[in-house]
Amino acid sequence: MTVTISLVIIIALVSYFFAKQLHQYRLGLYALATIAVFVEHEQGNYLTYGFVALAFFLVVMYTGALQRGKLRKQLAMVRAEWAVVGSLLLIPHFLVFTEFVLDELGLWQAPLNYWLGVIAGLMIVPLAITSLRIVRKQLRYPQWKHLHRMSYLLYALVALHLIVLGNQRLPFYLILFGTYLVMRLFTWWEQHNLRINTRKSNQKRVG
Amino acid sequence: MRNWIIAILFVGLLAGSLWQEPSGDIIDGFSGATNATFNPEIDEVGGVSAYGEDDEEDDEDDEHEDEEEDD
Repeated sequence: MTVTISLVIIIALVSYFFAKQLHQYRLGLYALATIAVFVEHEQGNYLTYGFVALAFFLVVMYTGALQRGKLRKQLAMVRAEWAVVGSLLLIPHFLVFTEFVLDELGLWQAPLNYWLGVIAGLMIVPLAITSLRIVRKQLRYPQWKHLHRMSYLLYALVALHLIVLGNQRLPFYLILFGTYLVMRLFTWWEQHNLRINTRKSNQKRVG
Repeated sequence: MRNWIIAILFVGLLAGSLWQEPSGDIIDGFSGATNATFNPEIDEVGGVSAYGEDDEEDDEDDEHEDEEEDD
């Protein structure tokens, strides 16, 4: 987890200080990520284990849990870009593990975590495509938002995919996804209360 | 407040992972080596013996086989 957590901190810091530039040169970021995908081979390393993609997804995920302010604003500016980069970097992870499963186990003997990963991967495709600015412009905001609500289910699948592994990184995954869940629930509760209070004050004004 | 909790969480997790994972394994991960920290599950499924226990049982089996052959 050292590399994953270090990457999360680095990505967050770079996003905070260079959000505008990263957003401006996003095509360059996509090109770099695509090159990384093509250069990658079947060796087990941080990219093929999916740790680099996980770091990008953790930044995307936790951006939604941040308090309103400069940090959230800066990170939100490059949230879509990191989601696309993370999705691209998942391709070697998928290919290497699929090759491993096909060679060593056979598709139907594949462990549960593999299938959870495949379902999560399939869910990422429409989310990543609609995160591209050119595609996003074609959609109406409610349509886009409705589709991107699916990302909560995706986070749950990614959490399950990692937890089912049951390896020595399990406590880290439980803390990361558990804290996110608590924070999101708190944000929803806050927004719910705000909505109720706004409705009440509007009714008073009308009355 | 929430931002500080998240910041402390990640710094704490970084410290915890540095404490848990041997630095050698982290460096090996860059070059693509499989080790006790990164993906021993793949090796187990693939039929490779676990780290730290390599070949000990096999050696014992070999010894027994040798004894049987001697008899």
